[in-house]
Amino acid sequence: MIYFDNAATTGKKPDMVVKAVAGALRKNCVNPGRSGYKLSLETAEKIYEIRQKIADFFGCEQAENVAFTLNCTHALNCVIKGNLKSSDHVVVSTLEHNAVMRPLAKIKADFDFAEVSLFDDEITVKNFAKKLRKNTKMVICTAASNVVGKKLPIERIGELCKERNICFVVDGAQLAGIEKIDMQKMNIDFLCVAPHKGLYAPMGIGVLLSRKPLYDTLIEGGTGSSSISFQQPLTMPEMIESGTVNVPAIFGIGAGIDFINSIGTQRIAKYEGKLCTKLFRGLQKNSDIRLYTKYSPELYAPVIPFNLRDISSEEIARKLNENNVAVRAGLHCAPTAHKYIGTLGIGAVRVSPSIFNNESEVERFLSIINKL
Amino acid sequence: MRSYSVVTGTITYAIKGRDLLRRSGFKARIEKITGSSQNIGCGYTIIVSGDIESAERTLRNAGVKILQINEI
Repeated sequence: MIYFDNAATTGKKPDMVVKAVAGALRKNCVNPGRSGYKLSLETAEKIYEIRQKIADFFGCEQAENVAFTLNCTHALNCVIKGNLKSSDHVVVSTLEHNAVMRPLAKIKADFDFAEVSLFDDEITVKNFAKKLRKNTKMVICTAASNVVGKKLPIERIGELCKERNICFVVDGAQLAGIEKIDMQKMNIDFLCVAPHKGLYAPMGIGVLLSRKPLYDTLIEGGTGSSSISFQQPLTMPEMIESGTVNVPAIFGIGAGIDFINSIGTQRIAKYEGKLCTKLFRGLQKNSDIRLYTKYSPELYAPVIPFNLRDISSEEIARKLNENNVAVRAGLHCAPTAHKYIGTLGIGAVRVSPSIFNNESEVERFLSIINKL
Repeated sequence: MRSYSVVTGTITYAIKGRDLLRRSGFKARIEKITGSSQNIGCGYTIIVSGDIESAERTLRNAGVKILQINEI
């Protein structure tokens, strides 16, 4: 199978991740942070090391500000519902996922869209600046769109937020691990990560990194601390980690970061950019293909949306599946992004290679598409 | 040399605090606390020997949350 659905989840995990997860299942199925026996404490120490590794990887000052959540959506919900109340003003980009839009709708936040230019970051930054008000509480933007792949100028948007003392939240689901994200350099207050994507970890785990306090919790329960009280402790990371954490998946994140560090994010980005460039140029040669971006590795994450003639995107994905090619079609849980590129009615086929794909798979894919 | 129990509550702060104290030359280890004796419930404590004022300063300066300090 040619797996080109890596924007949904990296389909192949590095051997070191598989070994770390299997090792945890064999040796560390204990509850860390609850007990005092040797293996529980050893596992807690290992988890602390991984918190530190994640903090270092994303430029977060303190290991305790790295919290494990159920997934990236859960992390975004923690930030949005833990910091905002009804009618608070928020600015979001026109490329946001429903993981941002639905929590905002649920709490009845007063949100404005800042239009993202697919070609000129200066325009994007100006659009964000225009939408900011004196009472803006938060700016939330994706680091890279899961539909069109456009990387947002988050460092520039972070500067805007810092100048105005506005909380800056980044949805790093599509870019974390693929390119360097440095919270301090980019003035990011909260970074939400989907480790099963660019960090090659298993599914069922998310990471929330914070540089500002959270004021409320999404769920409450056992934290292994101050248990005589019915009040939820408000110290990170335990305040949002009620219940037993996913030890094998956390070990997988640690190994995933080791894998990335052993290659380097620049080399990974360069390789994936090369595959995407070949894909894009190949698709451009087919006059029946409709493309929505002008892909370049500098401006885009390794994601290319397209449509073929007037055939529905789901139908194209089905035909590709018959040819043993895995892609994602439809709206990708991001109707705002599809509305922006004019594909809300038909969706799009999304192709997203990873470091585990190769040029011959790109060539085979193009050959299959050209026959449809 | 006197020993103290520095109750941090969470395992995360206990590990962070112990590492900080060791780097500053203190002998420190982590233990699970007993709920009834500390009136806190479950949680963790750092057992540290030496100048407790200096140890406390080291911990608080690094943002470690301390719930109680008891001589043992």
